[in-house]
Amino acid sequence: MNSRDITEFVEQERELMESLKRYDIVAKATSDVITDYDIDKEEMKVSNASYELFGYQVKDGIYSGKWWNEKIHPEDYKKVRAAAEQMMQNNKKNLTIEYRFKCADGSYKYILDRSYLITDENNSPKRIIGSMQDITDRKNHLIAIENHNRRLKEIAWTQSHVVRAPLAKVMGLVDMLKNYRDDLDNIDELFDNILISANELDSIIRDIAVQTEKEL
Amino acid sequence: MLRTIIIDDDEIVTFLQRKIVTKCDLDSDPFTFKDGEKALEFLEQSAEPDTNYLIMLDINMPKMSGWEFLDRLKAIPNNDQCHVVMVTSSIDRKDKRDAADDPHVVDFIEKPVSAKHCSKLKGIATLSMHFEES
Repeated sequence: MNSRDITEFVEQERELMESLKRYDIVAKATSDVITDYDIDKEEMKVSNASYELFGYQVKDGIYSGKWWNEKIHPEDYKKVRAAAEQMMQNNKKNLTIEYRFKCADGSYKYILDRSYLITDENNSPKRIIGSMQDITDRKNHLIAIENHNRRLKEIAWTQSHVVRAPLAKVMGLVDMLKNYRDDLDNIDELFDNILISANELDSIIRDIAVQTEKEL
Repeated sequence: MLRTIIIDDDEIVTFLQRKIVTKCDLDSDPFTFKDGEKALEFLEQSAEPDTNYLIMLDINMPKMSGWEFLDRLKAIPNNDQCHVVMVTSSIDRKDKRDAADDPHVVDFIEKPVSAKHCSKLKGIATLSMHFEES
């Protein structure tokens, strides 16, 4: 080894150290779990954030791929499996997918998983590097909004039926006044009924306002 | 002979339908009932054997719904003399389908019942003979 080689070696090592340090800092800075899956060994190495997020802890942060996959919610597993298979078979570099992941306490967290596939010189898949972001709060919020919207839709639907009942009476009564005016013995009764129906409609609309406010 | 029976829990609705039915010469003095139970009683006890009945039936009623009335009607003797027009404030597609499947239902109309509806009823095959005669 001549001095030029040594300089190059030192320089490479320095760059590597910097890059590792940067990785450590990023891993500390983010609350996302950084994952590194070794496809041949079927081993999943995860960053320390996994303890805070899921409550699991093992030495070196290395889990068997099988154990890790079992933590994916059974309802989501097929979807995740199919996406991962497709990624490896088609050499698709990026994958973004949402699923639920089981924590040590048995609860599930909604995860946004973003992965990148690393291949060797023969283009065969070797590792999948990724990050797992906890989107539980956002997801729960979204679910709450969706439920809310469904409830409001129900109110709107029900009320359109309820509102139409007194309205139909007003329409019928006015139609009668218009077409049979000269032929009616008690016009006052008609006016009274129009007023009764209009008041009924008014109180229904007030009820809707109260009910909708309660829902919001 | 064809007589009209109006069944609706709302007095203003029965008032209106009575007027319209009279004005359109469907019936000069239609029977009105506030609930299905009373109408069934009438049909069981007082229906004339040679008379057909055009029943304007409200769907949403507190004691007995229009659907329940239709079910109970099947058990009444001479129910083939009854021709039902379902009357509702707001048409639901499912309701309309269910009504179409019932042999007693001849029409399905949205309130308010108008003169136009009544003249349309007179043209319905099972009812038209009663109006041609008179």
